[in-house]
Amino acid sequence: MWIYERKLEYPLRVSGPDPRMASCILTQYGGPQGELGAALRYLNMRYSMPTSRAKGILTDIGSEELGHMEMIATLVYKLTEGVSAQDMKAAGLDAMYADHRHALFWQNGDGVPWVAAYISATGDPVADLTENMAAEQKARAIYENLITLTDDPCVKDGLRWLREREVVHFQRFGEALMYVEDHLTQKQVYPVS
Amino acid sequence: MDTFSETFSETSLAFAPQSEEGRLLQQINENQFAAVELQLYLDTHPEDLGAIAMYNQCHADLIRCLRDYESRCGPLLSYGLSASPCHGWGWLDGPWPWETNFS
Ligand SMILES: [Fe+2]
Repeated sequence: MWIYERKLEYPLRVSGPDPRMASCILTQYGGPQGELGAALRYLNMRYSMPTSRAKGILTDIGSEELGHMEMIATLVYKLTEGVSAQDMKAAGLDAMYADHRHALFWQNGDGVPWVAAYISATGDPVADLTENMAAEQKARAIYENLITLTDDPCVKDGLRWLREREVVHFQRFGEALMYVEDHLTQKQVYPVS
Repeated sequence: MDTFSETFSETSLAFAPQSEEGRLLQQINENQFAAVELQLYLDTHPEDLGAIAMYNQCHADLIRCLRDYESRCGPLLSYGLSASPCHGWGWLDGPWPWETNFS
């Protein structure tokens, strides 16, 4: 069961509208390395983990990613708030405006819709935790790309904070993987082919 | 009697938890489900003061049930909303929600 907290995990501001940047940030909403994919990947993987530590860290990081999804949506909302159709068009977002006006959509920066194939789960805890470590590194890289793409110090601040979380998540998944490998070695469990 | 009731009236399971933990959890579920229902109702009927009073009663009962459960069974909420036992990280103890049978 999940409970909603009516606040962001970290407060966000923007200096002013920037629809072009909003469309870039949207990839962290509905792109392959985005926060929705991360949340669903981790929460979905919990059921095939062998240790309580791994189940715990996947539950807690997966839940945190849901909060990050809300932060990304907030950034996109603030960067497009009150922007006219003409200004959306001037920013190259007329096609997005035609389909969604100011509504959010699960897509990457290029408009490719989110697909379930972004979620990897093999059922092998070592493969899956390794996948998560890669996912955190890819998300970190994308946050760095986004930080490079904006001059807005407020947007940079929020993106930097989110980038830091990916670094911590990577670290925790690495530790979880270590404990899972120890557990599997001790139990002498071998996958059945 | 409509078709749905005829078909399904006999199939409802009345859980009667035997363990202390199951009983405490059921109290939480009852209060929280009432609170969820009242919250949805109040979102579309925000002027209903009687429902607000019921909601506040659910809140008080729920908080008491939560503290009861946690003092005996360990933390229920994450991110600092439940304390852990001092002698060990209680979050990892016991079955996860998909592993219990509510006995
Ligand atoms: Fe992350």
